[in-house]
Amino acid sequence: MKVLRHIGYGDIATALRLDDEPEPIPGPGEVVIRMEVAPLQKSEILNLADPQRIPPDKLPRICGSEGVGCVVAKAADVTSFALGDRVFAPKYAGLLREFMPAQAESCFPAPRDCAAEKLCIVSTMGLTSWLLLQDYVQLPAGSWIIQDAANSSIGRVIIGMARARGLRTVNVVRRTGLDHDLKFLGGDVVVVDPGDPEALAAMVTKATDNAEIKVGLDMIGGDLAGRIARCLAPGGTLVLYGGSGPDAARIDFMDLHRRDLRVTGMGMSRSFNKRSPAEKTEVYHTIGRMAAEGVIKTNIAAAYRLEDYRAAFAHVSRPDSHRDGKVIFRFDN
Amino acid sequence: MKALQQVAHGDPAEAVKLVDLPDPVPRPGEVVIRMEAAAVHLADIKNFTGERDFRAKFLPRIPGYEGIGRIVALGRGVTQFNVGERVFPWWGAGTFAQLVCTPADKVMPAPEGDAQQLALMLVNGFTAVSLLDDFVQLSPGQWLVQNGANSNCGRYVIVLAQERGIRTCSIVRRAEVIDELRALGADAVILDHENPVELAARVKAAIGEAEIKLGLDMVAGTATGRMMRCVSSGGVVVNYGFISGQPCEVHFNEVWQKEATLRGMSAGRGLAQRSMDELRRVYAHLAQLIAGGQMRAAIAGTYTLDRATEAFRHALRTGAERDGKIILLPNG
Repeated sequence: MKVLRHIGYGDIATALRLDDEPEPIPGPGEVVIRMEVAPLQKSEILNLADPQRIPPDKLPRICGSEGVGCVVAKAADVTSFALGDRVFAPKYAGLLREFMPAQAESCFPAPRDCAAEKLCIVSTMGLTSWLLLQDYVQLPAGSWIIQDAANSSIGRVIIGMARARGLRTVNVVRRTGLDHDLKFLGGDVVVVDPGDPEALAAMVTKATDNAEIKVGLDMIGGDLAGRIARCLAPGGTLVLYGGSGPDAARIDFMDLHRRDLRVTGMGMSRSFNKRSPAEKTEVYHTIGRMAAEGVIKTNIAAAYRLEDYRAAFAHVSRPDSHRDGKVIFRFDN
Repeated sequence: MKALQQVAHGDPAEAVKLVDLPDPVPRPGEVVIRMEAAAVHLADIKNFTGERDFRAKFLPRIPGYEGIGRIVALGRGVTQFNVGERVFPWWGAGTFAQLVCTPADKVMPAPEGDAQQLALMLVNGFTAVSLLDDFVQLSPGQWLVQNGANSNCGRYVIVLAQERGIRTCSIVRRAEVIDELRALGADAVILDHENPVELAARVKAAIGEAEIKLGLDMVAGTATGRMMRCVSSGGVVVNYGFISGQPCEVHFNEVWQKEATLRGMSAGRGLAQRSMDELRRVYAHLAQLIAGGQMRAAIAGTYTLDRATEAFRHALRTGAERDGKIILLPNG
């Protein structure tokens, strides 16, 4: 079987190696997953260049942090899965390989009644969005939330999921022309960031007819996080969840003092790991259904075979504006 | 009487005039207080300059959030006070004047003792109480960490925390003040460091493995994020000042792992969530601690009303150039 390994630092040609090796045999408690699809995360590109992210003593390592496949072999003691079951493979386990051995208890059942690529967004974007809305947005149906980076892949997932939960969304974006798109996904209000907190707050007040917005979700940080905070009602909470920008969130003290805002952060694995095994399975089940039914979705920019990994990595390296959605690997030859 | 009057927004030297006004005559339910001392706060200066959110709404006005004095006249129906009694007027009575005329029902009796010290009770004293009581309920033996610890609030926090059995780790910028804060009752005093990792290491070295559930930040800017690094899992950082002049800066990485929360303290909210009876009890206790010398402010300078411009200029200095609070003495 083919396995894609990260073996050193540098460009795509030198840092990666495609190996051929025997198929794994399940050890005690293990299943072997024949991988169907695995998205290629942007972080994999960053990993190739930066020893700070993955230190040399962790190399070589198998790439890939999420994916979906079918159980094709299992140890005798595994009762939770049957051969042929589709599963979400364990996260960050090194999934860019045709066959993946994994502890059965680290896998979660996945829907069968949809194309596998629809499920690519479940274990990272889906899970992050679900945990954000579940743990930080304890609001009744009809309530408003506001988010930045609304046109990012995860921003779009949040829109769909919030709609499914009966929440209404104010979606702050950087450019015009997204109104139709984001409303089609289920967004209620789309606002182009004017770059000034008072101006943004005034636009949001007008667009929502003076709605009380108790929760803001920020992926970017910097002054934008402060502008989102300005739009929140007294006592509201700003949740930082991405840290994808290099800047710290800059929050005006008056928003904290006069309006009693709270600023906190959510880490996906931390929130997920607080849950019991049964709850985790339930979470995956719920998000899996949402993905299968198209409640949440993402664009697939292109699908590559593992042999074409150089083209896939090159594709992911393109700037966001030149890449419409996720780059994925598809293993079904 | 002589009084300071804010007539415009801008440089305090231009915006605030010394004026002669008729002595006030109390209406029913009012008292007239002859001021002994009045504290100058940075918020006063911001009222003058008209900085957003602090901009005084109605001009002309007599500024001054707080002070102490003696009753010289009683309006009809005022029975709870006698002429000659020492009192604190309520928040924002306009204390930068020789005489203050104000409703008697909000005036609080004051003890004998150092007028300059007592003139600082209302604002800084309540801020310290609210910081300790309104966000995280610490048990005796638990730690809090605070920056700007040599500020008057910081000093009050040290004393009031000690009274509650709470231990304080105080961050300061000048080594000279360390011994002084220790003498006040600070459990650990450490020097600030711009590198958040280094600062957190210093805190850890000072207090060991103990948890810190409450951080008090009066600096803002990057200091907020550094404070975030110092608190433990689930901790709360409460911002209550912004001497850096910067917004509070918090990076995602500083909050998600420990699920820490940043909040802000507002005296107005703290006052509003207490009954007047409760506030009177809080203030009676603070007055006792100040009169008894347990809570002690550093006084950087005292000024008469005719030198107010100098006083305000002094109030804007920082560090060793203003080692304490500025006090106005309206009647000399």
